[in-house]
Amino acid sequence: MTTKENHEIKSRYQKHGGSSQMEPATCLSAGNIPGLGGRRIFHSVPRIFGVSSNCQPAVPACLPRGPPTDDGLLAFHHFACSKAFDDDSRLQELRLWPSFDWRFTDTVMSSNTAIISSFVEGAPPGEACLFFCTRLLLQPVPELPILPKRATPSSALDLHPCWSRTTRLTVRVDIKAITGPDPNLIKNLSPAFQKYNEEQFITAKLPGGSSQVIISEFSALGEGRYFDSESQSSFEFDHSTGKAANVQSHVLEGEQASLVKSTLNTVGTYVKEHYPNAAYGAYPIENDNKVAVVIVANKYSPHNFWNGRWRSFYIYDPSSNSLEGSIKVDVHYYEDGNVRLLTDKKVNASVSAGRAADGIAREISTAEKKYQEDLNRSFTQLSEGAFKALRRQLPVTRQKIEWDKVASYRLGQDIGGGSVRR
Amino acid sequence: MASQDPFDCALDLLRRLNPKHTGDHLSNIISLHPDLAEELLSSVDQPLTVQRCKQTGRDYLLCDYNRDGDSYRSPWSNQFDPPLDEAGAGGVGAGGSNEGAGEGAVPGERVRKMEIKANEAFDVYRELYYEGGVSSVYFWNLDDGFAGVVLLKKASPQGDATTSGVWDSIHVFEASERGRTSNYRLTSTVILTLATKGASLGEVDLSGNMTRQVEQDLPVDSDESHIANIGRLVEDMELKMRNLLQEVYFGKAKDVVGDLRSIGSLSQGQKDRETQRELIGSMRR
Repeated sequence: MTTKENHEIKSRYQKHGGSSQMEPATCLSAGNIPGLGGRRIFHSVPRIFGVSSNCQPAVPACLPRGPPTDDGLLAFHHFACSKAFDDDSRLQELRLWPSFDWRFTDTVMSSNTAIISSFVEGAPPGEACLFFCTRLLLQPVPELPILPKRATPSSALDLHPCWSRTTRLTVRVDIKAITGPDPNLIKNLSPAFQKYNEEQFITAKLPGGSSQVIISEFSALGEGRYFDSESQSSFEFDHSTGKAANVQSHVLEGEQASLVKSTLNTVGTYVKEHYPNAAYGAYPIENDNKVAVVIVANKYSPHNFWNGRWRSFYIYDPSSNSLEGSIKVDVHYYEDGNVRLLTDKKVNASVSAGRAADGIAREISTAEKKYQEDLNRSFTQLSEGAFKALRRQLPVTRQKIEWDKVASYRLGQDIGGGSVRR
Repeated sequence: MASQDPFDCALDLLRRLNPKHTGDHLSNIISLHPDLAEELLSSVDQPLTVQRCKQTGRDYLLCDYNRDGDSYRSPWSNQFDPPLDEAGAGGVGAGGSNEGAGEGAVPGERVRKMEIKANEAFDVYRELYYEGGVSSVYFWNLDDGFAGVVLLKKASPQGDATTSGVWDSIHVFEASERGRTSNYRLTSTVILTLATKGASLGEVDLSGNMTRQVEQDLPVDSDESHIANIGRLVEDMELKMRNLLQEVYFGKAKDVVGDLRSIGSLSQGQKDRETQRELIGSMRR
């Protein structure tokens, strides 16, 4: 780096809030990045925070995402300064340093999308985690008025044409993410919504209809459309709003059509006998070679801070008479806490001779009854076993500790020895 | 409920995401909203880490209250590991903050004496209730008294391939001394993870955390009585929370599963109820 360039960066840095006590040599980690004419660029933002002598160390939430790529650009994780920076306008300015990287926009937004997607996919039954994510993201930050200044590219930033473009781009995206709903966020999240809805067997009502239709990979037709065997219709499903629309006739005509219809009857009878509130469906799958059965029951009681979901699916293969599937239970309790029951049970059964539809319902009924009994037993076993072994309800003496005499406990018996680990 | 405070939003979110992975969710939220880092990290409880004291060979628990920079203080030896460098190695973090953990990291002489006694007392408590595990107590000075945290951790023995469990208790209290009485405010969190699996059962995971608070004025005639008061408060709280956890983890979870699916036939149940109603009706007549 030439002295002039050095000076330029330093003064630019100071103008935008860098401490005058900092020496570029120490505060800027000058990497020689190829692809930019060998110019040195400060790219280690946490370093800038770290050496600042007149402030508390920052939360180094910004780290380069890896070495510079072939075209010489660095991608950054988002970063921030700690509260100590909040009253200091110079440091607020530092907030956006990582946006020098033109791909920062994409990187950060896609990493935000990945995070929020993981939240969406991990949402408990009956709760839209996106609601909280959105509120979290939409908080205005106090230093917002300063942001537009950063949008003005200066000569020091014009090292490469894309940099100034980026600065503007990033600021726009940042402001949007901070101040108002970003239409792209919802758009970018649609894969997560789809995954969640299909995995969780989310139900919807068809316009004008009263019965529940299930969203699943088995009922997917592609391009956002799903079908329902019972009503012989297909529909468009909006994964972010959960609404079904554009219903069309979808008549099942293939080889499995009659098995699907009779299975809907037999499984329906079983479901009504054991589920107070459940939706079920049967679908021809894998090029009309197999039949999938889906059952989903939800019970939401948000006023009492708990929600639950039971979902099961089975795939019947007529060529082998095998029935394979799984049962998953998800219970969430969140009154002054957060407790989650998550279970996963694989089912393998074989449908014996006779009418397949009867056999399918019979096997499902047997497997689910046995599973619920096993699960209930496991609650008792965990409670009596592992839970008890972790902490006793009372000491062996069945008496609470006499705290005034607690020092003498030690004299009487070498009780404390247990904490010296082997 | 519809709070707009980002901190509350983050807590709302954390109450909904799988409690088994709170640490991951926490770092994700922080990268979405970095301003919240400090506040969230100091108020969201995570499972405790165990470290061996180099001086005494005894295990102790790590938390924000015995931390100074990257070092943690052992309650048994009162030494930091790695030792604190007077020069402030790295130049970041050392000597900067005088709030919270910075000042609290080393209690004054009187409070340290109480801390030693409290560690001995809760070591007894740990043995009697947990029959194993690790305990640590850290105290720090306050303007009108002192504060502390009582930590307990127990994991079910490894090697059991089918069932595992971990219990973490975090009891943070403040004692405000008012002459002959002291006001204690206790916030307790228990983090409990249980998992079991088997061929016919599949996988079952019950994970979570619960937090409860209590405030009480109790008489104090010596520093020993502080330890006894805190001991009773923590003991009562843990008993209460253990019962609550038992109810929620096993009772509530089972009930909800039963609400989702009925083992018995619903129509038969309906018939039985009708028969009963008719019977009661006929008896009234």
